Amino acid sequence: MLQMKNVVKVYRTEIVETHALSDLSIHVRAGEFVAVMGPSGSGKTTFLNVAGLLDGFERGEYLLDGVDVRKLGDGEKSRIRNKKIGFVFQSFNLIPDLDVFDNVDVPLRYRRLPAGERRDRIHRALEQVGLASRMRHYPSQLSGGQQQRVAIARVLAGDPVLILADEPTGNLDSLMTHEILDLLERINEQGTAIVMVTHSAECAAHAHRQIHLRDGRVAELDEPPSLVRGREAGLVPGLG
Amino acid sequence: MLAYQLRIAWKSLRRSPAHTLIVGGGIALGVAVSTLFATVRHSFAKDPIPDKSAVLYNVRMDTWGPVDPYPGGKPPPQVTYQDMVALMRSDIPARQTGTFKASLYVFPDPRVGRPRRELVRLCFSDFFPMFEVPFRFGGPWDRAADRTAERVVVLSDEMNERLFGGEDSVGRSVRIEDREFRVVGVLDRWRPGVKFYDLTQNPVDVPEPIYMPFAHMVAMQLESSGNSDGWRSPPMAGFAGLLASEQTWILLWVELSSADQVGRYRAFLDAYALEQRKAGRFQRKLDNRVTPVRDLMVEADVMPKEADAMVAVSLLFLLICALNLIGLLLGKFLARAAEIGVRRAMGARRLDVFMQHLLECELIGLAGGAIGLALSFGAIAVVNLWAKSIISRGDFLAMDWAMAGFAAGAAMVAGLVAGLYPAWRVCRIAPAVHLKAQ
Repeated sequence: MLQMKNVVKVYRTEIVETHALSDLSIHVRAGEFVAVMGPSGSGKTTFLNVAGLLDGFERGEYLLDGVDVRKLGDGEKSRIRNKKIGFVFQSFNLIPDLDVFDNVDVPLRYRRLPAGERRDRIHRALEQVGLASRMRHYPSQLSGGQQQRVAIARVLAGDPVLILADEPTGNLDSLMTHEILDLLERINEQGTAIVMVTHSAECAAHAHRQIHLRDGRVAELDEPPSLVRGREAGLVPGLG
Repeated sequence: MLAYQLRIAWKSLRRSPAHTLIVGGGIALGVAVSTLFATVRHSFAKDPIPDKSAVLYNVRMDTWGPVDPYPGGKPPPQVTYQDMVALMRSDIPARQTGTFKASLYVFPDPRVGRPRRELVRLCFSDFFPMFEVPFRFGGPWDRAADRTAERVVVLSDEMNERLFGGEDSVGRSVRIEDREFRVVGVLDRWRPGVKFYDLTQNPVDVPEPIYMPFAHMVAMQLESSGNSDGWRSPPMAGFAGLLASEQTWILLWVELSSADQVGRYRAFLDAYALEQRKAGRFQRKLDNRVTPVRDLMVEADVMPKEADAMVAVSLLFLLICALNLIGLLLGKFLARAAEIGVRRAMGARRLDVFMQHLLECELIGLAGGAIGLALSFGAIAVVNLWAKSIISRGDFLAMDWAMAGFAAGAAMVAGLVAGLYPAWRVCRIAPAVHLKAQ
């Protein structure tokens, strides 16, 4: 699904050159749920931006769903982001002027789907996250957890093969955190691969596998922790 | 997609009404000024008789003396009486008329008003269909009246209003100088932009209020109240001398519907001039001209030379307005970087972002254009009011669809100029930076 090999990403200013990713090699399989961890400045977000085709890279190889992204132009990258990738951000990144329905509609608009199909997808996605009754609310009228559920509905409506989540629970309290992680797990069970950047070991425990980054490269590669083991240990709530 | 982008643009404009007002106002001001000056230019330049301007020809002959040419080196703008009579014997033109204006006393019913001098156009009956003169009541006199100097007149709508209170006055009588004339027709409102059939004096003057058969010139011994040029003394004294003289005071117009007719008519003119040369006239090099309406307008410098410069300056003003708005729009768009980042992450192409913002600029440009158009209506009304005191006409500058199109086009170009760079800048924003920062 996501295959990076020796990817190098350098940020340059006039006086300093920062190697954000140094020969990073990561492989995420289809349907996998991977947590990416690491201290601040380890390159987690840069990795996510490169993985999501929001940022380029200097060297290395990156195959996304079998496609070599190095040679793609802006239009093609945008099409892949639109069809194959869903983003969940720490700060939700809903558009404040648009109500819930229109926020979920954003990726579908750029896919140029007919109105009827867009409406069906939006309704289904909002039902999945339990916010069908809040369709005409604006983000400012929703709690943090609800906003993140709208952001996830926006992803679900697009039906991507890969979700890139950057600290999706970073701005939420523990109750909301569990709610969102449950939601992500349910989505993953339906076959969507998830790469989640997190600082939290508790959140990372929901993933099949954890990747630790340090100084822009993989520090260690753990075996996938057993979700069952996690639940038994009381670290992870049940799926309910 | 266009409808979606329009909706987003509309939301954005509503989100910051003060900003929208300033940007739209800047464009409105520029559009108003440039539309006003473009309308001035257009009013002089537009075709005053679009359906027929290509078949109506003014006839000139260089009858001037052998020593000095007519001022400007061209033939005089009018012809002599003797030439008009001779040339109108031609059967080549479908229609033709000689015409001049005289200033005559008109005696209304004493209960209505006092006698006063009015401009009377003497012409042939062809004048009316040739120049598409519209009638409200009755119609032109017939060709028999041209031959017999029948005492008939056609009144303008204003003159009919003054003399007969606007009633259908066909058949009624009006006294001009010492004789009674029967009204055969009343014109509908007739205001050609430029008074194309007589450019010898004020080209934006209103048409004359009264028309009578040309033959009355001889019967009443009428002389022109317009321009009259000559290069030698009449061969005899009195009115007969004027008729036989080299004095030019009659405009001659012919209607020629094909190139073949034009060619034949030119040949006819030259043949006539050569014939006359044998009798001692036409001593200069042959220079007979058959000029269509629009060419004549150009030759007569109908459009003030300043008009082009004024339009250029006003467009420059619009450009400066638009350039000043670039910073405002750029600031607004860059403040929206986070939203742009989200849209890019959701699959918007750079082109989508670019088009969305350009559309917003065009939308505000069009709104500014609409306000500018309304302002230019007001400005035109003010200029017309001022012009009325000079040319006794308050309707010369007129907004039409062409000028409304100009305003819309100018507004869209202004929107484009103001929005192109900001839209390009925001579509180049790196989405990753702003997604984390939101």
